[in-house]
Amino acid sequence: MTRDQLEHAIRAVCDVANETEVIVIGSQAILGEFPEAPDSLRQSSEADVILRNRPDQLDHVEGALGELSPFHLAYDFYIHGVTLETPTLPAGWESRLVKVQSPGTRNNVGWCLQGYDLAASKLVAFREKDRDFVRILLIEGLLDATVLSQRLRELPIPPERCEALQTWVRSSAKPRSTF
Amino acid sequence: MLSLSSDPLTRGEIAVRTGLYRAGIPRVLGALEDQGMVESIGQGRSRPMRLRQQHPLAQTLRNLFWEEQGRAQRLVEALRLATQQLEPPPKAAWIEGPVAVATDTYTDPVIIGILAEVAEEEERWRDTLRRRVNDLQRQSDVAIEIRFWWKADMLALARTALEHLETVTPLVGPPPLDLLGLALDLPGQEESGRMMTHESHELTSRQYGKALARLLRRRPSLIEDTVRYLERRLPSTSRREALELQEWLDMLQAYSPVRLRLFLESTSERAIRLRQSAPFVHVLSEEDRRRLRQEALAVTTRESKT
Repeated sequence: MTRDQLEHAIRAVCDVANETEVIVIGSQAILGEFPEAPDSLRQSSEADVILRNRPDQLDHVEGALGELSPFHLAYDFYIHGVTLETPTLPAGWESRLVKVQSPGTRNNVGWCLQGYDLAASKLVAFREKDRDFVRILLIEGLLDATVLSQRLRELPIPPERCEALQTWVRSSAKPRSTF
Repeated sequence: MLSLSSDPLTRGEIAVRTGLYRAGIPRVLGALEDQGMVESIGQGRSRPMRLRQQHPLAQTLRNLFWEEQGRAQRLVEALRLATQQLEPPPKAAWIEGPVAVATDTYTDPVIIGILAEVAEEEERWRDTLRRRVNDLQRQSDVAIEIRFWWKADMLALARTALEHLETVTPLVGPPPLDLLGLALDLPGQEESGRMMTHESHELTSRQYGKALARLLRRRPSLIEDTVRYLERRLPSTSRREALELQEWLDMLQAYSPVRLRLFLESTSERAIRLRQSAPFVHVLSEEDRRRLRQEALAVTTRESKT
């Protein structure tokens, strides 16, 4: 997905749901803080979005913009409406959301997870695709390993799990040439 | 139609896909069979027909119709760009009429529908779009008409007056009936009761995979269709998308159909990741996509309520 497509997604969700603000929580959220995110970041065709004011419209969003919809066929991406309980995020994440608002969103607001909060939530899941995603953010210099390690302490996870993730961050942030 | 299809087609299927009267198809096929261009398969009255590969023009015909499809796709992309650049962008713009349902003839215009809510939008868009469309008409040798739909009208019109908008090609935003909640078979119109978490969406995606696997068992030629689609698309894809699509192409060319079907249903991390960018949507008919969605959503809705 590109930044233009992200804005299109925000606009489409708001139009379908009669909404004015959404929160983007999936991998595509990185485009909020880094509109020119590197191509090496593999990105899927889906965008996960929370409806801030109209959670009653989740089914409508799924029907009109979801997987295998005419929208998906036309634009090569689709949108999942999800509930606020979905992600595990560091404390204070809402105060760090990155605002995406432009004529391309028809001045509706897409709040995107800040890079460190997105990375932290990915590391809680710790699937292969999540690890690859965060590793590229570190190697490409979009995120600083020290700041990310500190952010991991704000997660609602056991201390031993936090330490294991911090160790992973320190190891993964090494440039390839040092191996 | 036969040159674009990997499967032999019955007379009934040819009638549906071409929009021709069924009664006239045997005469046309008979003439083509006499020329050695098509051949029938099997026994019985409803023997499917296919393009005869040994004919010296078979590949030329395939290339001709693939090029025509490519030309049509380029025109759609140009119209998409023209409408997406309107200020402010419309909530929905689409292609409607014979072109959208693939029954158009040379003299049928390409009809662009645009959803307007206030008079100022129509005034601003009409002149801008007309200039862009005039260039495309000259370049592409097509007639293009623009039709503005008012949201208030669409919400007030009888359902029968909107039936022809059930099948459109979106240019901006979702199809208009989906946007306004007027589509008859829009999944999710009734509250599903499904939990809308990321995990539940992954479960639904797996159900899509299962439904797709069942479809591929019945119609294995869809695999070859998808390979051809990816080979045409990859050269012009951004690197970000190409990583996933190349992985799909490698898999489709290397896996047996059985292994591929098992992969589509798998709970492995790789399957979860790749299902998010599955390319099959571009080779399925609208009826196939609709059926897959209904099958998958019915299963996940049922499971979420138990």
